[in-house]
Amino acid sequence: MRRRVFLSGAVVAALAAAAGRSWPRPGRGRGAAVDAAPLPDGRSLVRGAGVAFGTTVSIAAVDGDPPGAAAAVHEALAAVLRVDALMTVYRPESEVGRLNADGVLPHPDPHLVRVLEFGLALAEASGGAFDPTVQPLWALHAACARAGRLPASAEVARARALVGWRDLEVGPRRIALRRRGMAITLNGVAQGYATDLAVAALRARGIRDLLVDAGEHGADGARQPGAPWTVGLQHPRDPRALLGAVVLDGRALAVSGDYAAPFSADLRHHHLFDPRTGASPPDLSTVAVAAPTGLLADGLTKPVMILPPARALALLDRYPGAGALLFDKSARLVAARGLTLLPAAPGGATPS
Amino acid sequence: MSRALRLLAAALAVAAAPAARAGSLSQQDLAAFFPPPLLVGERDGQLPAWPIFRKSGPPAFTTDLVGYAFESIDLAPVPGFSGTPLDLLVAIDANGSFVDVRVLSQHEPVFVGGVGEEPLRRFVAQYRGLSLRQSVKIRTSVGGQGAAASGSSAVYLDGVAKATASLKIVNQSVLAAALKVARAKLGFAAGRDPDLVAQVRADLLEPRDWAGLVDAGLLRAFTLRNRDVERSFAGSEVAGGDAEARARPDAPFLEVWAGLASVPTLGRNLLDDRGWQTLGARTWKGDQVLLLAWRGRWAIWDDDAVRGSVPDRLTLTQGGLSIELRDLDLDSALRPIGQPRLDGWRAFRVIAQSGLDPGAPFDLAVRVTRTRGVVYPERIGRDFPLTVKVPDGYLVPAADDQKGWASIWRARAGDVVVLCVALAALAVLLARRAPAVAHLRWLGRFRPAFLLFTLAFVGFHAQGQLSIVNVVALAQSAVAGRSWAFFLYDPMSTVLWVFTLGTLLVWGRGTFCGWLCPFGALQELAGRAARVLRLRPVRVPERLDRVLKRAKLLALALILGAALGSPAAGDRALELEPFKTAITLGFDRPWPHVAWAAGLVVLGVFVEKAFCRYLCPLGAFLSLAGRVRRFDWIPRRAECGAPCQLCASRCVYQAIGREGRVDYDECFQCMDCVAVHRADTLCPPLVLLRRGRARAAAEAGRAASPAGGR
Repeated sequence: MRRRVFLSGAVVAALAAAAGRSWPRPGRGRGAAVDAAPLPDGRSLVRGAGVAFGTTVSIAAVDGDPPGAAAAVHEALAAVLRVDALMTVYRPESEVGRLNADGVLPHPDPHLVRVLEFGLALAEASGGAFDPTVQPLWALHAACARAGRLPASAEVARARALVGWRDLEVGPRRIALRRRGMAITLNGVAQGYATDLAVAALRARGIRDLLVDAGEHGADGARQPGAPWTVGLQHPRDPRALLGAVVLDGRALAVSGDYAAPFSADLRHHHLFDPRTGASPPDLSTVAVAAPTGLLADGLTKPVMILPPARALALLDRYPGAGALLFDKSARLVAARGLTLLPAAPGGATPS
Repeated sequence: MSRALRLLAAALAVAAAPAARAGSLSQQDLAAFFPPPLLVGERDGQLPAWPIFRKSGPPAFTTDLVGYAFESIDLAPVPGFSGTPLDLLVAIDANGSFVDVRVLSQHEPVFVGGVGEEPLRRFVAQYRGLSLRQSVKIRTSVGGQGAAASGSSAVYLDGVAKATASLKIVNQSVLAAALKVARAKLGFAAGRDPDLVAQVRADLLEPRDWAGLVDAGLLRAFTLRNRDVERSFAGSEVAGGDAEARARPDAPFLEVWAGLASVPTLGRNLLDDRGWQTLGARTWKGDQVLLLAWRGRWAIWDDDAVRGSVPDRLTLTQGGLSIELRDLDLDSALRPIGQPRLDGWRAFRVIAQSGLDPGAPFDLAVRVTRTRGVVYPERIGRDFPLTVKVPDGYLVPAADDQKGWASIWRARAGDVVVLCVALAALAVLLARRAPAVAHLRWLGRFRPAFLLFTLAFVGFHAQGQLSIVNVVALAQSAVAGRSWAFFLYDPMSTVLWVFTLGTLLVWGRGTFCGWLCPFGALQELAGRAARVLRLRPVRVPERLDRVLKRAKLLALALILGAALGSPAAGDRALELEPFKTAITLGFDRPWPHVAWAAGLVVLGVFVEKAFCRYLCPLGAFLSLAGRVRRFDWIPRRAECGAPCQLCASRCVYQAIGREGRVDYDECFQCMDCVAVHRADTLCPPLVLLRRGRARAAAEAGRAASPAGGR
């Protein structure tokens, strides 16, 4: 699920990549607690990273007080890891894991309730093109992909019968799945929500210029005065190339592509599929959605990818501040609404 | 807290200390090992491993995961020869290759004095660039096996003279820790928690012969034909080099039977008593023992191979990851249970930390080599895969780890209910001093009946004999911060321990030692039976009795010390306890064990509960722990001790002093003195009082009668 991300002013420090697998010898003595690089304007760039949602989460903060910024980065990472631990379907002891195993979860975490309430609202608004109860279909596809085959139509029908957001009951006292065998997944929204919490944690510590990459992106301020945070969009057919770049104007950005978790070699079947039919969209390869919150941006990528473009744009219009870029299977921009695609930065080497 | 309790706590803490150590590096410390452009990431709390990233920029940023760094002690605290685990900083990349291994702390005698730490540092530096998918072995004799390494999936590290044993521990720590991280973090084995592997059911033992073991799927049979081997060498320089194979292509080249001997139904049926005991002594909870038997034209274990070493001709993998096998060096025979004529067999140990899941299939590869040339022979090898899987019925499944113990409780609900009812009844009777336990006439019937229940139901049927082993294991887990959940897998012991600890507060050690210990009950019942034959216990001279009663503290110290020293020593020391021989195995053991246990029972006929009073380490522990007792519950009178000596002389455990004081540390709660105390026909002060009252009444009657005529 790694999305290639690239920030503007793009010249990758090739020496790190060229170093290959050999790691430098550890230095003697204590290293600085803070990973801070001084900037020309006297402030410092503080960076931190962790692993969550099966991908790398990284945070950058620009501030005049490196130790304070490092503490903020630490808190933001901790918030992301907490969301992962709460909402991952891969750990049976997570709240989502317990709900899926037992069919009911008493006293759910308020964060989980908030995300699921959002999920139900989006399912309603998108007519089921987004559905948090898609997990049985997803599990079937993933199992078949591991076995190197596509699911039979009977298997799909059986799994589809267990999908249905109207049978998900969400409340502050309990969350319940009304039918046996139902299961939820928040893989489509947890990263966006984690981005929101990380941005909030950094802002609460007084950081004004920040970038959060938890799979989805959240940003505030600028990298340096006059140089906004910019995210490169990976070319869906060439991981070394970019489709272009998007400026993070304070909105969060989420990107979904058919290349991230393909179920078939020709990318016709992949992890983004219609919860109502089990089929992947035939025409689109990548969508990028910007929205005031990471949760909304992340959630919207799925219906925007799956619905016919006209309906996708109509859905976007229901959310003030939301915008999107839609790319077809040959990586051409077919629609843009409220979001501008910039040419990829010159010297466009890609991150390795 | 009394001095004795403090001593006890200290002793347990020492015994458990090796497991208590934990990694010491902070994120900041690690940053010193991994300076920019590397970035030490945030630990996620699931596994004590730090993600390491490579970053670039500014102005352009990338953050790529390059691997994980971790301390071996956090993941695989394998005790070294000093009893303390080594701590190594290990870094692996995202493909499961070693990036670096460094020594953080070590107490191996050979590297502390003698040759110093430098050879160890050079040794661990060899891991750089090796892969976890390879089988990493230590070259023991210089130049000995160099040829065998060519073309093999095994890689050899250069050893250090006189330090091979310590290096094996280093290798085990590195591999086991790295495997855990690889399984949990690198997507191997589907990200399963390496602690969540299936467990072998220790309580299931079916008598089966060889054919029965094969039928049950516990022994998997494989046949390699000459033709298969020849075909695998086709096209190489040694193709067609086997005349026998050309002559008889369909004849078997090698027949192999493989299975897990740590599954009791396989190990207990196939190994003789000594072999099974050695297996028990040389493995820890969670270790597996792989047994291979073979016949044919190739041997899986070369007779020249070093005993206890890693096999050359056999490798084990599961989920694509290599797992270390080590010869268990079992020096005993297989029972004749109808097996075909075999050319050899060998047992190999797989340590628990390596994460082998007996519930999933695992792959063995038998390596067959041919040599070419005479002067400097080149060896060309081919691997032949065999897959082994333990049938589900012999396992406690892993996915249900949390439910695992619950299902055991459900399965034993009947026994648990019977035990709880019996314990509740006993507690109520003792607390209310009901006639059954406080009137001599009833006590004389109730007590033997209850002891019979303890022996037959708690001991033999429900296998609920508590042991000092439980104490050591619980203390180790507590100090190491590990869960006590493993204890829940044994409902009988759990219930009995909870009850025993509760009664320590009220009555002291006597409730367990006197009423609930099956071996104690066996001794007492034997004593009662012998009394029919007019055999009577003797009283031990008072001073000797006092000295001997302290001896059991030595036994406790010995066992804790041995458990701290080495597993083998610990295992031997634990044989002091005859519980396993007498109760768990019902005297079905080799004669020295049976002689010891039976001898103690016979001794108990002549010296009442001699083992319990003088030798029992569990008794010593409970008598120390019993100092938490809140009540002096045995009633006393001013006359007790001076002048009355009745209870002191009646107490068969010699737990009442001449001065009349009860020594609760040695009291078995037989209730005799309690019953005597309230019997006005026996307790001298009461007898005197009664006689005095009678006399007074008689006198009063006489005095009253003349004046009373109406």
